[in-house]
Amino acid sequence: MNEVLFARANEILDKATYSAAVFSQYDQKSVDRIVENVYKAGFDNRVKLAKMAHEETGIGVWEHKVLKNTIGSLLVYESIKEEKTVGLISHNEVTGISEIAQPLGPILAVTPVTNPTSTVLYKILICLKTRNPIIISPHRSSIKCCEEAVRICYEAAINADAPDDCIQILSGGSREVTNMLMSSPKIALIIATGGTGLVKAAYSSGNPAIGVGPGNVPVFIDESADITYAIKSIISSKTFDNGTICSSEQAIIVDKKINKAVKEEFERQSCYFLTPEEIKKVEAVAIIPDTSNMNPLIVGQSVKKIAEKAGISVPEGTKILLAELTGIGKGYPLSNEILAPILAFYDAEDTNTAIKLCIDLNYLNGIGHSACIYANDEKRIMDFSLLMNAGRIVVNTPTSQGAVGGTYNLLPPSLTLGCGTGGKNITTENITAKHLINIQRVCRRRMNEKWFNTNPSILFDEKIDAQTFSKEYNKNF
Amino acid sequence: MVTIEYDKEKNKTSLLFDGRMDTLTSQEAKVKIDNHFLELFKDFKDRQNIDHDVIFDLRDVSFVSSMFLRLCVEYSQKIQDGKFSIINTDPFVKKTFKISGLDEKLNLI
Repeated sequence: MNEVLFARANEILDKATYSAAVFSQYDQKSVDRIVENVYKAGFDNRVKLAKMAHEETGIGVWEHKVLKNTIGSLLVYESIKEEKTVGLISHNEVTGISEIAQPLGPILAVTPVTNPTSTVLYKILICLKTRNPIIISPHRSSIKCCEEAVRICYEAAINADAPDDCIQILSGGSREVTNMLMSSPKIALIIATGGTGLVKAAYSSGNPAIGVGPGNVPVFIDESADITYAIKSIISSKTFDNGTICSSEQAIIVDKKINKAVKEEFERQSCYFLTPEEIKKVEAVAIIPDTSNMNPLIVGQSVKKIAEKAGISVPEGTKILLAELTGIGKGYPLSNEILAPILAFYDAEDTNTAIKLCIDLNYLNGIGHSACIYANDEKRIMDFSLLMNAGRIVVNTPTSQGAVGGTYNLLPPSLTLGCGTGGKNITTENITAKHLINIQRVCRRRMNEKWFNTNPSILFDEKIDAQTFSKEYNKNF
Repeated sequence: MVTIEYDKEKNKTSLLFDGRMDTLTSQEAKVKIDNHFLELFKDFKDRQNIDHDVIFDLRDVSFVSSMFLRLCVEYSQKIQDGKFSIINTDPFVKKTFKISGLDEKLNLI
C-alpha cells in the first residue's frame, strides 16, 4: 500500500514541478483571471462544502463552516485581488531599487480537520495568486470534502487556462508518505496548519516551512470594559463552529472588582459555571492526561455532547462551560488549549495579577499566537499588549473571527496565523499571498555621498575611534 | 504550429515549432508528429530506443505548456540516448525548462 502511495507522491511531485515551470511564464492578468474564477467556484460551493465537511468530520456547525468558506474564498480574494504578485511589483526612482516578484515553486499545504475546506480554498487562492502549484495533504478525517474542494477549484482554474496540475491532492497518505513529501527537494515551501507534531515535522524536513500550531488565547476583561458587550462577544466567538478556530478564547481573566458582574453576565447569557466535581469530570473527557493535549473526541463538539460524554447535567441551551481555576499548567488540565466550547476562568486579586495570569496562559503552549483584551482605557490596552507574546492582540473583538481578520478589523483574512519566533515561525503576520513570493531587488547605482566623501585612510589609523569617524562621516560641509 | 523537415540521408527529423505551445496547439502538434513517425516506423508506438536524430527547434516559441513538456519527454524517451535535442530556445523558454528540471534530460542546447 505504501509503495503505491510513494509512487503516487513521486508522480504528484513531478507534475507539480512541471506545473511550476509552466506557471512561471504567466503574466499578472492571466493569474488574476485564474484566481477570480477559482474564488467564484469556491464561493458558489460554500454551502455544499460546509455540509460535506461537517458531515465527514462530525465537527463544528455547518452554518459556521459556510462563513469560514466565505472568508476562505470571497474575503481572501478581496484582500489579494489588487496585489501585484508577478514580475515588476515596485520601482523607486529615488533609491533606484525595483522589486520583481518570482514564484517559489511547488507548495505543500497540510490542512487541518477543524477548518478543512476553508483552509483548502484559502491556500489554493494565495498559491495561485503567486504562481505556485499547490499540493494539498488533508487530514485523514477530512479527505472527501477536501478532495471535492480541490476538484471544484482545479476545474475552475483549468477553465481559466491555468497550467495543468497547478492544484493536486494526495489523500490517505501515511505519516511516512507525508514526511517524504515534506522533505522532497522538489517542494519549495510547506504551509502546515495543524497540531504540534505536524508542525514540528514540517520544520524538521529541511525545506522552508510556515507551520502554525496551537494557541492558548487569554482574554483579559478590564474594569473599563463594557461587560455585557464583552460577554456577548466572547460567546459569539467561542461558540463559532463550536470553538474550532485556534485563535478562539481559552481563558477569561478578570479583576476581582468586576468578577461578580462578569460571572452574573455569563450566566445571564446562558453559560454555565461547572462545580469542582463537574470540572474533574469534564477534565477527564477533554484532556488526555499523559500529554495534556485536548482529546480529539471533544474537538468542535457542542456543550450538550460534551456534557453527555462527561456524565454531567447542564441547563438546556447552555452555550459555554466555564471552569473556575486557581492555577495554570500541571494539575489544571483545563488551562490548556481546548477547541470546544469550554473556557477556563480566573478571578485575579488586582489588575497586575490578572495580567500576570495572562502571561502564564500565553506561555502555556500558546506563545506567539493571539491574545485579547476588553477595555476602554487605551493605556491599559497598550500596557497589556506590550506584555503579551502574541502575533495578534485583538481589542474588544471576538478572537476567533478577529485574529483571522477581514471582518472585525483590517488584518488580512487568513486561516494560517503566523506566531513569530515563539511559535517557531519567521513572521507574526497572517499568512497571505505576499509571503509566497521571492522578491528580487534590482539595485541601480546611487552613490552614498557621505561614504565617498570620507577619507578612507583614517580607517587604518587605530587612534581614530567611532566618535571621531562618525563626525567625519556625518560632516555636512 | 509545427513544420516537419525529414532528412532521409542523415536519418534526421527537425521539428520547427512556432507561437504559443499551449495545451491545444501541443495536442495538435502531437498528432502531426505522431503521424510523421508512424510513417517512418510502423511500430513507433511500441518502440523505444529508436536510432534517429530528432531536433525540436523552438526558435519561434514564446510559451510552453505542461502538454508540450510531456510531448518533449515522451519523444526523448523513444529516441536513442544523445539523439534527441531541443535547440534555439529563447531565454524565457529556457528558464521554463530549467525550472522543470528537464533541461539536461531533454538535451537542451
